[in-house]
Amino acid sequence: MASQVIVLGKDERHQQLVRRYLYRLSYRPHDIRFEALPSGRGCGEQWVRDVYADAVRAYRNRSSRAKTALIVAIDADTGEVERRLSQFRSSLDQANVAFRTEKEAVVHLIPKRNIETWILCLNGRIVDEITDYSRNTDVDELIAPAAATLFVWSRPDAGVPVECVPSLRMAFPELRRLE
Amino acid sequence: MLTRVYIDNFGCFVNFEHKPARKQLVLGRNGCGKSSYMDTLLLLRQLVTKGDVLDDFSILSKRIRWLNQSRQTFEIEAELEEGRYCYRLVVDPWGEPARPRVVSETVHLNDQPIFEFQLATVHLYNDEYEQRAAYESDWHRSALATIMPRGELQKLSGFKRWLGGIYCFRINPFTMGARSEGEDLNPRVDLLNIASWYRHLLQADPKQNIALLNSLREVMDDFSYLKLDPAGENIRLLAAEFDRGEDANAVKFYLNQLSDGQRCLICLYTILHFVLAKGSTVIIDEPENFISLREIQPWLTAVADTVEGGKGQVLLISHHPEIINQWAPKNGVQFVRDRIGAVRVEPFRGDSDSCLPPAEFIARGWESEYGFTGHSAW
Repeated sequence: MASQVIVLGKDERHQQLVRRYLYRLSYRPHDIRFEALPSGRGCGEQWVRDVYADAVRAYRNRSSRAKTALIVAIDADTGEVERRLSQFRSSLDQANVAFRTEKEAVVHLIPKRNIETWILCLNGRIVDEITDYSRNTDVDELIAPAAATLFVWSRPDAGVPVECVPSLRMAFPELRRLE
Repeated sequence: MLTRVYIDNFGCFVNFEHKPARKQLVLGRNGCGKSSYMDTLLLLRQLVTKGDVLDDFSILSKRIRWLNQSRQTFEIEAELEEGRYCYRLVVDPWGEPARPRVVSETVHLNDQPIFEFQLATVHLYNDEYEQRAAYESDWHRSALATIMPRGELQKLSGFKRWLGGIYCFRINPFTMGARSEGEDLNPRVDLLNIASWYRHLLQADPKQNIALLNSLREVMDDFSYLKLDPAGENIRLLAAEFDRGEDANAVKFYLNQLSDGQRCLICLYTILHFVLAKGSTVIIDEPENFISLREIQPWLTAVADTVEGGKGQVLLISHHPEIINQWAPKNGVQFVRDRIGAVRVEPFRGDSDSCLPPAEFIARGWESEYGFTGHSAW
């Protein structure tokens, strides 16, 4: 278990889902550090990409001294998950930082279309990755139960329902990087 | 939960309306009324729960000079279990020399009166909204303060209890001592009486004390527990004990021997576990004072966990970048004061193009340049 988890979340809902998931793994508020969110409501994605390379570099520096984890949570939006991953790669290339290795606790959570898709899916709703659910009014109350389900579904050999959206399935091996 | 505050002709507030959320950060430049807002809520709480005469609060001297209006109006709305309560107090000067008097004091529940005090006469309504009594009362003080809780006034008593349970804090570690001569049921705003208040809390809710100690163990290195040492008849001294490893004796520090920051941490986590977690409304002015940068976010996160879990309501007043960066984007409101002195509330809106952290956006003064605030006085 890492002594500190740094969270780079696109907005407060990303932070909340990650935070409540980490509590399930027995992390406490003192073990988690959230990077500051940008002031504007529409620029979270850009901001995450901008600070990603520095965050990976800082992660590696501390990892040499103490067990650390970095969780990056950013929506895929209308693009593919792979597009975000290649954006991360190019951010690292430009900063002359190597891409994460298999063993590094650098976790990419990339919901498609957005975090609300995952929150609803984890609450048993039938959702797709095209519809924008960000304006659903009940999402905030569903974050805590979503985190509980995420913990269950991300366990090795967990029975994940067929309705689980593909981008969420991709998150399970990512989350195992924390172990 | 507190849902609306209206203040007219008092301090820097003219026709001022604020609708607090369950979790909110109040931002604003110096002198824009943030602290006065908390002071006004404190005043109303004091008037309604203690029944002090209005003269004690220099209310008339806080009228707005340029407004040329004698009446002062205060309203508080709350959404509680029984429904939507609205408390309204109207004060004006009376006699020679002028003294403040209550022109009207009312409580409505779901738009129906349950208490009216007008022209020195109280009209009381029972829980079925039927008028039960009318009698005269001193119009120089709140008549609601004189109402004792009783069977047929459950709804009115419930509101009064809730209003008395709004907690406002401006923590000042310099004033705090370890000595307690008894249990204090209520904390002072500056928490000067933390030792006596904690003594009461420990008796009233020992379960929450376990949560408090666990939190303090996380934020203070080697902290073990809090204790109240006997120091004479009915006198106790609040102390924190720290472990020094298996081979060494524990070391004890009385509250006044702890650092300012450690005292503040004890206060903040006491508020979190004993007040907020019990569902109360809490307002804290500059909670970050004296706290190391490392400790601000974990406390903030613990507060968010509690409130998001459906317990309590919290309003933080802060200039600190750490708090602004975490809460302003979604939970921030700005108090804005224009050139002639009236304060208004606007949602915080950052700069959607530049991706600046909110604190940097505010530090540059851009929040007042983008036309959100609608004035050019700054």
